[in-house]
Amino acid sequence: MRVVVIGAGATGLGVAWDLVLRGIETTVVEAQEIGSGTSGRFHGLLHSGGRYLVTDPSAAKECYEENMLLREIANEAVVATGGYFVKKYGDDDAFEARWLNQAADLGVPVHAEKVGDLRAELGMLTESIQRSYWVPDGVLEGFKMLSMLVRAIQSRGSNVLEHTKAVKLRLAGERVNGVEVQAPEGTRVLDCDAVVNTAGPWAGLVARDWGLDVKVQPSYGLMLIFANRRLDKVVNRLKSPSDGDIFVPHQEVVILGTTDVAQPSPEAPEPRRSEAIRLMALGSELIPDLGSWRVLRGFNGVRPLYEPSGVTGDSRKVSRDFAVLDHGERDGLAGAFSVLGGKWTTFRLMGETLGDQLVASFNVDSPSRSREVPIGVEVKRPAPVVKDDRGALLCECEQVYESDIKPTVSSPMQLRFGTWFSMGPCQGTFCAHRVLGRGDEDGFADELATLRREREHGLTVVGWGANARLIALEQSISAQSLGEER
Amino acid sequence: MSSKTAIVVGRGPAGMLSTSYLLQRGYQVTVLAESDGSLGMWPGDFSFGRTTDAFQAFPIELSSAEWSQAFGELVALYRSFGVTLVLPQAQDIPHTVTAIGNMRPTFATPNWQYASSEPESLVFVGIDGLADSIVGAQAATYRRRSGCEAYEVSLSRPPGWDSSWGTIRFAAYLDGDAGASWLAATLREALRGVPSGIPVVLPQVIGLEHTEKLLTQLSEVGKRSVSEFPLLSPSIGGVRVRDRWERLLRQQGVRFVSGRVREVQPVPRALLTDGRSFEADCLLLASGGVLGGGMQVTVDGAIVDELVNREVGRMDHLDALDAHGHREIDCLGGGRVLAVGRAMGGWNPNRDHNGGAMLLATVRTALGMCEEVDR
Amino acid sequence: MKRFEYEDACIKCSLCVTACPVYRVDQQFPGPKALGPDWYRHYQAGEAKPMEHVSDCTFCQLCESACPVDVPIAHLIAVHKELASQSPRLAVRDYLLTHPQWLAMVPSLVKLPKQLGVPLGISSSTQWPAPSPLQRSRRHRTHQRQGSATRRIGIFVDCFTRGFDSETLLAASAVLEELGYTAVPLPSASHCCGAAAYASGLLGEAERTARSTHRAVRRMTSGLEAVVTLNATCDDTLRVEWPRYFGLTIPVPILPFVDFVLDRANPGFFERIHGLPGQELIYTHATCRSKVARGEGSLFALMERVSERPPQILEISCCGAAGSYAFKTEHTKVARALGHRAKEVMGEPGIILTDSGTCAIHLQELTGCQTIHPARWLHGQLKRQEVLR
Ligand SMILES: Cc1cc2nc3c(=O)[nH]c(=O)nc-3n(C[C@H](O)[C@H](O)[C@H](O)COP(=O)(O)OP(=O)(O)OC[C@H]3O[C@@H](n4cnc5c(N)ncnc54)[C@H](O)[C@@H]3O)c2cc1C
Ligand code: SF4
Ligand code: SF4
Repeated sequence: MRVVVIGAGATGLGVAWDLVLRGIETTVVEAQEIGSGTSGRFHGLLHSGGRYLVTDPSAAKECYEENMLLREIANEAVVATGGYFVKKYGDDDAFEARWLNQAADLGVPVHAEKVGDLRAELGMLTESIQRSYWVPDGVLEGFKMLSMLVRAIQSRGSNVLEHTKAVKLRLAGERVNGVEVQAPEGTRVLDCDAVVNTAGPWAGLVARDWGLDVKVQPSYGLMLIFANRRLDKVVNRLKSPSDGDIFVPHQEVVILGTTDVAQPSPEAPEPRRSEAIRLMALGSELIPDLGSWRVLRGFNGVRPLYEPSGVTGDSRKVSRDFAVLDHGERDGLAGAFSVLGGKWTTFRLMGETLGDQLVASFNVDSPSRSREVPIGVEVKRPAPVVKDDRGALLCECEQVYESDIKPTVSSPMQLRFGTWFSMGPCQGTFCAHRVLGRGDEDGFADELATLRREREHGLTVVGWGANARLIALEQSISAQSLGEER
Repeated sequence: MSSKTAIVVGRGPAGMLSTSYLLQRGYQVTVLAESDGSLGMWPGDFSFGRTTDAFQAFPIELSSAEWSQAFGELVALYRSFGVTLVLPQAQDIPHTVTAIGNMRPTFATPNWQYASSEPESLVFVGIDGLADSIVGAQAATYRRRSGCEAYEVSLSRPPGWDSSWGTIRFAAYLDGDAGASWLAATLREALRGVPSGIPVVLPQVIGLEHTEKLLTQLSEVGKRSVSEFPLLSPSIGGVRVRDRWERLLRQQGVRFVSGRVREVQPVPRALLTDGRSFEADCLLLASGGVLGGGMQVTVDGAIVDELVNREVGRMDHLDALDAHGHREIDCLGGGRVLAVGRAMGGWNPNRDHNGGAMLLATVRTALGMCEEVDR
Repeated sequence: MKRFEYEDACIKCSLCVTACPVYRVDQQFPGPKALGPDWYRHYQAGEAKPMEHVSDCTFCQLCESACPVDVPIAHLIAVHKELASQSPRLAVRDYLLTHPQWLAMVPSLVKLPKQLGVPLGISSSTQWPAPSPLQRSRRHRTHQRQGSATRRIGIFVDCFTRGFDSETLLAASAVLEELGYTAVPLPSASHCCGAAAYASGLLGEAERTARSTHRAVRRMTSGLEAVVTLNATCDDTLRVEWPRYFGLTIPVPILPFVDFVLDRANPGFFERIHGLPGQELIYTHATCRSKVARGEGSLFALMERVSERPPQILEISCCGAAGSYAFKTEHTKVARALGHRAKEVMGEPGIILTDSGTCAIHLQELTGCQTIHPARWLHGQLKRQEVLR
């Protein structure tokens, strides 16, 4: 049996991994680059389920179970930091009571932490915390997980094709038997017995190309990246999920998020300063001194929320749970499936659920193994080293050396799987040309320009204080020293 | 002892230029600065816009006689601290080449830096172990941009190299005897087989104090012109200028006060955060723009000069960054506090390559105003 | 984890690297940016081990004074040093060297280097100071003069001056008296500002030392117009670092001796010295910490007003002494490489003036020229003037 999966985000790769483990030959096609959708632009939280205990109990339970499982099978891409839910004086007592009840009912471990101890550990938190609880939140290193999945999938003989866009289906009667794809080399058809739409926020558009109506509600969220990891644990506000109420420490940085704004388009909009200011204000309800933390950039991600009943006004109310649609059953298009909604945290479960339905629809008995099989080897990020022959130090912020750059890999997105160049405090000002200039010589100037624009957009929304000076420096280095056209 | 005193706030290019010109006019100068200025961030050449006509588009108008006098003075000043500035022969604005192979305009250029008014074939030299050295991509871009031939040669890593070697370390090494002979030998070897006569450009790390001597020796070795292309911050060209210029000013008796100025009053008076205060006959505000630190961007996007407590622009989008600044050189209206360099708005050195014109025009105009006051 | 203001502000311009004297002479030294903000960021994320060569930083703070965004680079490096593992043997040595006040109390201890120094890691090539402790009787004498003048000034007697350079203290007191002030040495017993401990990355020790000295100084400041410091490093430490890093303040202004004289002396004072025949050529050396704390040019300006021959600036960055730095075996090479430039830049022999005792010893040794505190030179000229008259 052969399956084509559309979209190489967390969901698509989770699906492919589950299918591959069942012995099914799978090809993932990705219109842009691996992780260029929402999966490369998320908050980094490995949910304990705590956030959804009251509003979305089934999502909460799934998150918790997957969280525990991923620690076993993909430990390298998970950091078990732990997290706190903090209730400020004045926050709703009834919500807290329901939250605690739900935790007990659903089996999500939560234990009270003395406020004094909490503040001794995280001295930056506000003094007006009334109660706090520890939960098994963690950090999910998205790019690392994606590259582990890609390697694991490829090592079992299946394929992930980038810059390959699925445009239409080829049918044999009512049944799918191929997917037409567009790639730089041209258009061709991939033969298959089934196709899975895991195009995230684009899933509605993909389904529309198939002549189907699937209600995907794209909703974007803004996140702010602080330059240094000034906080070691996840911190959530204990109240009904809302904007700017979670801090996640992610490697060298801390990310504050998020907002939730429904929009028609699946593309991430450009971040706006007014929203960044609002997020700062919300964040400082938990960390009063937040204004003195340097914000490095702001970025938007688009949630692929699924709303069976159609688009609602308030995207916070749309379930965080996921859905698998068998379009054969639902719409009479046999062999076509969509996997919609969900969280990064639950990507494996989404794969398993799809896999179960898919094999069942073909009457094949091939149980899922993704619960047991470890996702693979660690893709190590270079730790700072002092003396070693790794060539010149190209990116000082994120410690990327010449030897970390593989000559075969040259697009900025691909480079990010091995390194974090241009993501640190200089935002590419000093390293972009050094790294890209060691790749493809002819495409170099264009790639550099693209990367600059992308970095500048994220920087400008948070252009104040030291960051405004970085922007000015970046502008003048790029024009004066490198002579880039503005 | 001189009766005329001046305070200069800031030790970037505008501050240094103001200080030198004030000294020439007999002032006793105190420089107040909290940190190094931006000289070490730029290569040390002066850009004046793409054509000479562009000069007149600036907020300050100088006649062409004034401009040529200004250039002459600038060249003399640089010579006094040991840097030879080369001015263009004709009307054309020459270009230099950059680390990524682009051609960008330059006007008054220290003699170590490559400048030419016509595109020509070049030999690009890369040095292994130098992060900014991307000779392949550089030559490819240059070929495309100039339509001329670009040869590439690479030098091996110097002995003793490790990955802590940044541009300053390379420059310090090449400044010494061991480094100089290593360079001469490896370059001679590398240039074998490259057609003779074609000018050679090297990354700007050829020494700190002995650059001119080194480049002369190298061009004798290679029998062709050898010069440098600028790199980014810390830019060795700017560091050379800064170090030599500061040394001269120290020897001329300038007092460099380190400390953060908190407020500038029209008296004129500068108050420091540590309680010290300084008064003089005139005060030149050379505290820079957003990069220099003279202007702060608030969270809601206002650009503020905190020293005189005034909003001077907004940074709602990227392009706005360069338009900000004081509108008048006499920025407080009393005729004694004068904004120079990037503290004055209306220029966009990044986009229009007119930073050199900005410096000369503002500083010269401000000096005229200082002398006005004394009369 | 200790938090610093602007710890995350670095925009990677590398101006700090251009200012660092060690980076230019030590080919393995990673430099301020790598050891400070770059390292610290990874350290905060729990990812960084201490780097080699971190202890080669002299804590001169020239990097900080170059930084456009106020990153406390040298102080981040001090945290880095604290983490760098050190052999127990060097720990003993560092503990001794960071408590110069003890060495000063028992001057015979400084005979150490010869017998014990080598195994302890104390440089045998760096010149060691000759003890010249402040004698009780002498100190008493300075006190006795009090009643006559009306304006009282404190002189902060740092551990080095107390133990090894009492002549400078006496000279400074005499000059101040000449200007119409009564000089009160303080604190009354041997104390240290804590700078040496901070420079070695002993942050806790630095704070304890600072607190105890602060208590001792504070209670003596009532009725004083100002406190004058004789050493630039102590000046920076008391005036800038104590309040910024430990929240310790002194209720009266703190001023370096040179700035005080330049500020308060009347023209007559300068003229009296200026005309004296037969003065030697003067070189001025502004120490790193004085540049950082207050800037450069005041010593030169003072000398321009009093010296017959135009003074010259000793055009070097850091001389390499850097407190106890040069006394440590592993730093000898760098310290000497830095100081060596002094001899190169001096056209003709002369006398070097500088307001740091350790810099003076180091420079004197490397140049062969007498190197003293400006107070001693001024005092010497005043005495000559009396004789000549
Ligand atoms: C602001 C924000 C914060 C979040 N934070 C968290 C969090 O902390 N923890 C958590 O668990 N979850 C979080 N999520 C949710 C999580 O990120 C998403 O649920 C998850 O990444 C979705 O993955 P996906 O693979 O479905 O979509 P995507 O990652 O968007 O993947 C879809 C891919 O399909 C490709 N594609 C589209 N059309 C085609 C086509 N025709 N042909 C080929 N390819 C195509 C796209 O290029 C894209 O790469 C967050 C989401 C947002 C928006
Ligand atoms: S304190 Fe001095 S020696 Fe240390 S890194 Fe800074 S400049 Fe270099
Ligand atoms: S000078 Fe300051 S901002 Fe520049 S690299 Fe050094 S620490 Fe960073």
